Amino acid sequence: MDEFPTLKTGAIAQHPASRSQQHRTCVLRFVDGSEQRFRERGAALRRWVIRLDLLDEEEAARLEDFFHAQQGRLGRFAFTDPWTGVRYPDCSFEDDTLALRYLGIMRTGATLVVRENRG
Amino acid sequence: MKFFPQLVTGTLVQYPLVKRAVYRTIWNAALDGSDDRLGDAGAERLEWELRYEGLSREEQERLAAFHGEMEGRLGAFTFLDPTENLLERSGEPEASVWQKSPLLTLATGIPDPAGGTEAFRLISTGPVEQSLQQVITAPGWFAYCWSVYARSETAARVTLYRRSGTEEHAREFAVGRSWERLVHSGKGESQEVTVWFGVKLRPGTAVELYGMQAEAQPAPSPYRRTKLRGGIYEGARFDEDELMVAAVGPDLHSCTVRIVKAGR
Repeated sequence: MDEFPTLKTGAIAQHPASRSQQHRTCVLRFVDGSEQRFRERGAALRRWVIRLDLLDEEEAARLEDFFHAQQGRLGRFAFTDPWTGVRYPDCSFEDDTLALRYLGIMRTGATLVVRENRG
Repeated sequence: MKFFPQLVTGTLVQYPLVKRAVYRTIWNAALDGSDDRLGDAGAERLEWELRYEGLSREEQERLAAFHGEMEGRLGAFTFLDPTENLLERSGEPEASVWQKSPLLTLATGIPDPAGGTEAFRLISTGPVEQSLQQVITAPGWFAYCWSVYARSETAARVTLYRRSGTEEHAREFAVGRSWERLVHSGKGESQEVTVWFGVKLRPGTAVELYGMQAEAQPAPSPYRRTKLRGGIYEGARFDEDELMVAAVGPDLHSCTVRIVKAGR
């Protein structure tokens, strides 16, 4: 399993970074106002938004090569949560497009969304 | 064969530029969060968004003429990606894309300045100069930067050369014990569409090399290792039928060009 690449500093993400966890609950509401709720997923799906700025050309190239290797959201890789350090062995990109913004020398930026796979 | 033109400065693009890698995955998500997915290899493409500011009249006319020659999105051309190394298999001198003189001994797996073992040692054992070179399909009249890291246990001299047709530009460098990036850049006049990039060693010379890189620009950028392909994209096209150029002052023009290449 491929590993999501780290920056030269060893970091995975930069500020600002965000993450979310998504549950899925089915809610049945009855005429008398009562409800029945049940989960549709065994566990929450995790998702990370990785915003990267001020990358140098080598870091940008590594990210681009990794995205090509994954072929967008088709591939699966391991991702270490930069908030907790927990390694999630089965994740994918959420988008099929990677846009690298070359703003200057050592000023390349990109935004990636990584999501945990289920099954 | 048509090539996206360089500016008067010898560069292809200016900052900022955006490069997009686009794939298509057919995604069937189930309620429990699991999914089935299938890649659509035919939908792969690369896109470049090039923003130009401060173009001279000559430069904007060059871009406009090329867009006209391509008739907007109709015609195909070759685009030399400014974010990539133009050479193929840049870290594999034993690969067949590299043409090696018969009396040049090659040893790979040598420690490199980046902390890996991708450097290689060349020993010239013949009575005459020996060379290692690669040819690319690119205009002989472009400006190029050809660079490689080099070191040698004993004082040695290495020649970097660029050749197109009968025109050759070469520069000899002294190489010492520490890694140093050798850079040879310049613009050619040849009208051929093949360019050779190579290193020549005098008889009896032994050097270690790493990070061979060719770029269509006057100065080197950080080394980017390539595998099966370099940054030369044939079959690229404009992504718009219209090219709008704004005159923002005397001899100052700006425009945005979008280029797309289907497949990789």
